[in-house]
Formats: sequence, structure tokens, C-alpha cells
Amino acid sequence: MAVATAAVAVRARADASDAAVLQFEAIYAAYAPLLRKIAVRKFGIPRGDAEALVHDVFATYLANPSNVRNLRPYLIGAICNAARQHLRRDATEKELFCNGPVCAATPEEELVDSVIRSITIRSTLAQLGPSCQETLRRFYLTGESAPTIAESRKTTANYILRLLNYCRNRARAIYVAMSQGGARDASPQ
Amino acid sequence: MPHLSENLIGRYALDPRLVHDIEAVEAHLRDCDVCRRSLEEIRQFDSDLAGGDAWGRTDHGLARFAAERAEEDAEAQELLAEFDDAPATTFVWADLPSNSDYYTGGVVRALSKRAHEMADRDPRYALELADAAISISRRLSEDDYPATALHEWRGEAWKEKAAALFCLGRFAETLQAVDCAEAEYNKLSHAGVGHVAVLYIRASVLYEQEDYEAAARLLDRSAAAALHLGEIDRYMAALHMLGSIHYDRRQFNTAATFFATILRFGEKNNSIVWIARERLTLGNCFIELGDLTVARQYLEAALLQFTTLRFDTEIVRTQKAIGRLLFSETKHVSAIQMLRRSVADFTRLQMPTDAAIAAVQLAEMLHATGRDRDIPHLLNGVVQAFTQAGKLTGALTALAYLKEAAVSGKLTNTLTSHVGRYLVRVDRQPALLFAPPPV
Repeated sequence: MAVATAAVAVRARADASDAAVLQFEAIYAAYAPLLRKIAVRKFGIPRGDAEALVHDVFATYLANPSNVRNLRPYLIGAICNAARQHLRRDATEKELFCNGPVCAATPEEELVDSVIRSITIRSTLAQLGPSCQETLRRFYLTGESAPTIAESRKTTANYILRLLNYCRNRARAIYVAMSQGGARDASPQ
Repeated sequence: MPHLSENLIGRYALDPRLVHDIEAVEAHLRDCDVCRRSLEEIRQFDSDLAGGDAWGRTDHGLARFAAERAEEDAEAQELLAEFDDAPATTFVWADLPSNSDYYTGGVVRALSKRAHEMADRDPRYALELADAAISISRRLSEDDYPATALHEWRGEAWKEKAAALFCLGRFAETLQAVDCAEAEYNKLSHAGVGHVAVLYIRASVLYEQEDYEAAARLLDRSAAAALHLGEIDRYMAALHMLGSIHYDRRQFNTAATFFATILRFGEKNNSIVWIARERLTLGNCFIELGDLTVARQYLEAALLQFTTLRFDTEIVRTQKAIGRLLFSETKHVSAIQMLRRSVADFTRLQMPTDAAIAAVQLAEMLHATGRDRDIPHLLNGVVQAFTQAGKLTGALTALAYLKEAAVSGKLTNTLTSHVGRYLVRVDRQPALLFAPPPV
């Protein structure tokens, strides 16, 4: 009986853990790009430092998520405070909070559009086959050259470049269709 | 002029060497706006692909922390289950900080949360819980947890200690605990909800000490910071206290403006608790302002809502306000009956301070209607309730002083107001001594 109870408890903990990861990944995917862009574009924080600030904002949130009632304004307010604190270290900023009628971090339309674009491209990439995804990721994100990718795949650089062009064209077609609301027609069968 | 194919432009964008006749392609791009725009769009797309955001990178360290935290929370719930309905003494005797089984972030969070829930109901127990949370949080290491999380949890535990001490009226210690909470929060990379709470607790202490200007300054900052983080409830709580400051200063119009703002917020968000609470405070404001029709509308609506919510204490507080309203409407008999009922109900709910405050207001009504002889009996009942509740504070002296004044025919409205205000303060500051009003 006790063993069964313990097993149920272990299962419950594992379930809680899985659910927390899924929930966090959804939140991170939805807000991390926006927070990064706010730090970089609104406060002029270098990209590397902005990444660290975004990490800290999420780490603080995760330490006590029940303290937060309204996630979006909390995260935007927090990245604003974090950016100001970062700038304060350079003695250019004095206030602890972003006081004032309109928070400096409030994202305007252009910034929101750019975040929506990133999220749409992410959805687009998810619709590509694994080979295309992997090739594009290695070339664009990781920065590997076509010959390096070709070598690991035992093929020619020219083939990889043609594959990249094909995959990017495919992605663009899906992206354009999604942006125009016709995602279903463009998605692979 | 025929346009270049998208495939060709794409190859050119990727690597110009991929097209056969580079010069012809470049010449065409120079002359053709449409193809040049296509190239720009492709290059923008390439730039997006090179940015991390398009690939939805997850911070794996944070994801792991989220998983571990959730698992710890579930584990802490199991570990602390035995104390769920147990009396405070059981918790104290268990001496959690001496047992390493409890040295987890989950236990610290659970203890702080429980302290938060208990602060109003049983502040002594809340203090024990917060002390245990502080003690355990100090034993947690940066080898096991991110530094950010440790500072957040330690700050939270100190903040709950401050809240418990505040409810116990130990204001000097409250401020010390708030300092410790703030020191932890200051180690975070940004100001957050903890800083908002710290400002609010400091303001609450200043408010209780009747340093209204300093309290209002902190409340302004707390409200702005809460709003900035989207913490609307905390924002409203700060506004409510600002309204209360104006009410205590008898600036009823300004107070009503604050309470009306919160009422609108409550209505907009369909928050029945805020709506009912602000209707009660607005009712009280309009009694003082002499607009009795409006006061009645607010109070009757509040009574209906508190009855729906089954908030017993707020029902009695609203009934007491209606009693004051009736008195202002010169319906003295009904008013006195209503106040008598409030005193009895507060006593039944084991709220001797509220019973005493209602009794003092009733004494004022009895005095105004020439029924001073009823006052000693009324105050004897309240003193008895205080004694039975073990509240052997200066409140007993104040009530005795009031009773003596009634017996000797020296009762004045100034005296009843003075005693009423003292009763409110001594409830938060049990060590506060009673001094009669200056003659």
C-alpha cells in the first residue's frame, strides 16, 4: 500500500515537472523575443547583455511565479527595470522603477510587428521537413559554411547551396501564405 | 523587360557565384524596382533566419529550473501536509530548521506562502512560519539553486516576517525585517513585485504611526511601481490606503475620489470584492459629507454584495455604517438598535476591537439623545469581551475612562472620537498607552 502511495507521489511530481516545462517553454517562446527586442532597441543594451537580462527576468519570475498576476505587463515592466538597473551601473540612470505616465519599455507597433514576424517565421520553420530545418539552422543560425555542412553530409557544397535556396524559398512561400492568412494552403501535404 | 525568377534572385542572395551571368543579373537589379524589392525581401528573410528569435531557442537552464521548482513544490506539499490543519504549536515543536529533510527551496516557498495566508488570521503563527522560512533559506546554497532564486526566496521570507510583525503591532521590528527583505531584493538584477510590497509595508507602518505625509509618498511610489508591473491589485491596495489617509485627515471629498477610482476599477474588472469594499468606504465618506441619499445607495448595495459573498465581518461593518447613516437621518431609535446589533455581532464574531469601536460610536449616540445612563452597562459588556479575549491592553483603560466620563456627566464628542481612534491604534500596537485628550 505504502509503495503504491509512494509511486503515485513520484508520478504526481513527474507530471508537475513536465507540465511546468511545457508551460515555461510556451511562455518563453511567446515573450523572450519581445523582451530581447525591448532591451536592445528601446534601451540600447548590447545583444549579449540583453540576453543575460532576459534570462534574469525569467529566472526571477520562475522563482516565484505565483507572485505574478498579469504576465505580459509584469515581464515588460521587469525588463524595463532590469535595463534601467543595467544602465544605472554605467551611472546613466538613477530611478529604480520605470516611473512616469508611459513606461519607456512599452512596445510600439513597429516593435510588436517585428516580434510577430519572428514568431511567424518560427511557425513557418516548424512546417518544413527535418532536412530543410537542419540545413537552414546550421547555415543561418549556427553560421556553418556550405562546405562544412556538405562535408558532414558527405555531399558537395554546391548541392548544399541549392538545397538552402530550395528550403529558403519553401519557407518564404509558407511565410507569405501565413502572413496573408492562407497558412493551410501552403503547408506541406 | 521580363523579371528575374524568384529562384534566381534567391540564389544570387545566397551567393552571387551561384548565378551564371552575374553582371547581367546585377544590371537588371539596378534597373528593375520590382526585382530589387524582391532581393531586399529575401535578404530581410535571411537576416530573420540568422536571428535566434526565429528558431525559438529555449533556455534549457531555465526550463530545467522550472521543472525542478515544480517537483520541489509537489514534494514540499507532501512534506508539510502534516501541518495543514495542525495548531501552531505542532509546527513550532517540529522545529523544521533543525531537520535537513526540509532544506529545499520548495519548503521555503511553501512556508512563506502559508505565512502570507496566516498573517491576518494568526500573526503569531505566521511569524513562526516566516522565521522557519528565513532560517531554511539561509541554509540553501548557490551550488544547488540560482542566486536570483535564493535572493527572491529570502526576500519573500523576510517580507512575510515583516507582514506578521506588522499585524502584531511590532513596528520597529517590522521595519528591521523590511530592511532585510529589501537587502535581498536589491541583489536581484531588477526591481520587481518584492520592492512594491516592501514600499507598501513601510507605508503601512507610517500610516499606523499617523505619519501620513511620509506614508503617502511611499504609497505613491508603490502604486506607480505596481502599475508598471501590471500588479493591479497591489496598485489598488496602495490607492485604497491613500484614500484612507485622506479619510483620517477628514478630507472626505479627496478620499471619495480615490475610493471612486477603485470602485470603477472593480466594476471594469467585475471584481465583486473591490466593488463591495469601495461602496462601503464611499458610503462612509458621504455620511461625513452629509450627502445621505448617496451614502444610503452605496451602503445598501455594499450590504447586498457582502451578504452574497458571505463576508460576515464586512456585513456587520456595513450594518454599523447604516446605523450611523440612520442617526444622521435623525432616525435615532433605529440607529441605536442597529449599533447595538453591530456590537453584539462583532462580539459574537470574536472581534472585540470592532465591538468596542461600535460601542464607542453607540455611546456617542446615547449621549446625544440624553441616554447617558445606558452607557456604563454598554461599556461593561465590551470590557468583558476584551477580558475574555485576553486583550489586556490600554483599551481597557480607555473604555474605563469613557465609562467614568459618562457616569460623571463629562462625556463629550471629542472624548468619544479620541477613544475611538485610540482603540483602532492599540489594536495594531498593543503596547500603546492610553492618554486622555488634552483639555
